[in-house]
Amino acid sequence: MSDPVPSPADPGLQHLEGKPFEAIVAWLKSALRGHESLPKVVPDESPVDPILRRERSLSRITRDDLREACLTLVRRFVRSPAEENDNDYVGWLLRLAKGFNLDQIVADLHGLATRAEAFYALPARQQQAILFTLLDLKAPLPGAFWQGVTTANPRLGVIAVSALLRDDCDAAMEVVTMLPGDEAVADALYVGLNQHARKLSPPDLQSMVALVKQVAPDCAPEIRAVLEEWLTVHMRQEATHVASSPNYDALKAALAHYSGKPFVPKPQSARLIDSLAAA
Amino acid sequence: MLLPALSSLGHAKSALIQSQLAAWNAGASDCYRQIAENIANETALSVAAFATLLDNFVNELALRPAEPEKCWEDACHANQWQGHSLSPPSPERLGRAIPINTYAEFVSKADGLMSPDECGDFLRWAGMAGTVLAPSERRLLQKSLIGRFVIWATFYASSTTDCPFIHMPRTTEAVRTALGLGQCSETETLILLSYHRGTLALYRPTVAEAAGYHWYRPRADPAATYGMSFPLTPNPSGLPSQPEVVHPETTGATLVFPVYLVT
Repeated sequence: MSDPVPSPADPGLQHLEGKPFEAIVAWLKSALRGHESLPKVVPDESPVDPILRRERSLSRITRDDLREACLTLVRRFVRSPAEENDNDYVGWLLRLAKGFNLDQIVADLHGLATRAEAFYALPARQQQAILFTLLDLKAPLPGAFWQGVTTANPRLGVIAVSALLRDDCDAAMEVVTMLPGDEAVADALYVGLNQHARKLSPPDLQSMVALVKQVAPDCAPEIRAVLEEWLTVHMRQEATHVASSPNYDALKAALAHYSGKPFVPKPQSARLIDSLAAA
Repeated sequence: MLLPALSSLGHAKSALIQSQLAAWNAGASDCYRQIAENIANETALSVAAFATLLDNFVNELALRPAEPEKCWEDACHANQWQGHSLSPPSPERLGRAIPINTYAEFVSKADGLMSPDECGDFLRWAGMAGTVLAPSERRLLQKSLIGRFVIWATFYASSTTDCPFIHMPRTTEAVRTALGLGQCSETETLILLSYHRGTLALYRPTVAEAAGYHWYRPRADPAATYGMSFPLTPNPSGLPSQPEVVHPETTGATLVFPVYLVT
C-alpha cells in the first residue's frame, strides 16, 4: 500500500503551459484516446470539443504547440495508417485537426486516400473519417478524385456528391447515378441535397431541380424514390415562391391606404429582389 | 453508506481509501474534491455494491498508485447500473440535453455517410421551430445513437408522459442551470431530445455512473427511486432541480419530433 497521491489541478488545459513539445504530443495522444480528464459538458462528449473550448485560454505559444502536436500526430498516422486500430482515436484526431483548421493536412490525407492499397485496407470508419475531413476542410480536390472514391466504393459516393455539389453540380449528379440502391445512402443523399438546396438562390435551385429531374430515371430505385420526394418538395416550394401571397397583397393594400402611397418593400433576400424585379 | 462499506473491506483497504479521499479533499482539484464529497454522501448503493466498487478501486490503486483518478474512473466503469431500478412503464417519456457537436458526431457515425459538419448544419436546421422533417431525415435521427456508454436522462415528475422540457424555458441558460451542466457555457448550442422509454432499463444514478464527472450530486434519501439534478448558481428564475436517471446507450428509435435547438 502506498501513500495517496494529491489530485492534479482541475482538468482544464492550463497544465500544458510550459510543457516541452514532446510532452504535449504525448498528452494529446492520450487525451484523444479518452485517457485524460477533460471538462466535458456531458459525460459522453468526445475529447475534441473540450480541447477546442479550452485551448483559447492558453498562451499563444502553447496554442501553437497544441496545433503542431495535432499536425504531428496526423502525419504519424498518415505515414503508418495500418498500425492504428483505434477508430475513435483516428476520428477524433482528424476532427481536432479540422477544428484547428489545419488545412496543411489536406495534401497528406489526399495522398493517403489516393494510395488505394493502403486506403481501402483501413477500417471503414477510418476511411470515412479521412473523407469527412477532406470534405469539412472544403479541400479543393479534383472531381476525378471523388469519382475514383465512388468507383472504388459506391456507398462512399454520397460523400463525393456532397463535395462535388459545392463546385460542379453536373459532376455531382453523375455520381448520383452511380449510387447503390441502399436506404442509408438514399437518406443521406436526401439530407445532403436538402442542405445544399437551402443555400442556393432561386435560379440556382431551378437549375438543380432540372438536373435532378434529368438524372432521376437513371438511378437505382431507392435513390430514384428519394430524388422524386426531393423534387416534390422543391417544386412545391418553387411554386409557392412565385405565387402571389394573399396576406402579402392585403398588407400592401392596407399600407397603401394608410400612408396614401404605394408600399415598396426594401428587399434583403435574393428571392424578394427577384420577385420585385419580375413584378 | 460509505462507512458500512468501508468496514466490510477490512482495516488496510479502508485506511487506504480514506487517506485517498482525504488527499482529494485537501487537493487542488475542485473536481476531485467534489467527487470525494459525493463518495462520502452516496446513498444510492447497497453496502455490498459500494464495497465492491471500493474494493475494485483499491485493487486498481495497487496496480497504478500514481494515477488515483484513473483508478477511480476504471473502478466506476466496472460497477455501473447498481442504483435502484425503475420498473416500467413509468416514466414513459425521457429527455436529454446534448451539445450540438456531440449529437452531430453520433448522427455522422450512424451510417458513416455524412460528415460531422454536414450533420451539424442539418441539426441546426432540424432544431429550428416549425421545421417538419421528411421521412429520410427522421430515419437518420432514429438510427443514430442519442448518447454513448451511460446516458443521463431527465423526465417530468408531475406528468411522466409529458416532454420533460415543456415546462422549462427553451434557452441554454435555463437548461444548463436546471440540469446542473456545470461545464456548459451560456453560449453553447444544445439539442433537446425527447423520447419514449420503450423497453429501456432505467436506474437511479450513483457515483459509479458519474465516475470523473463532478456535477453529479447524490440524493440524501436512500429510498428515492431516482436522482435529482443540482441546479447551478446563480439561478435567478429559481428553476427547480430535475429528476435524473441513467440508462444504457440506445438509438433514437423512439424519438419524439420535433427536436429542439436552444442557444
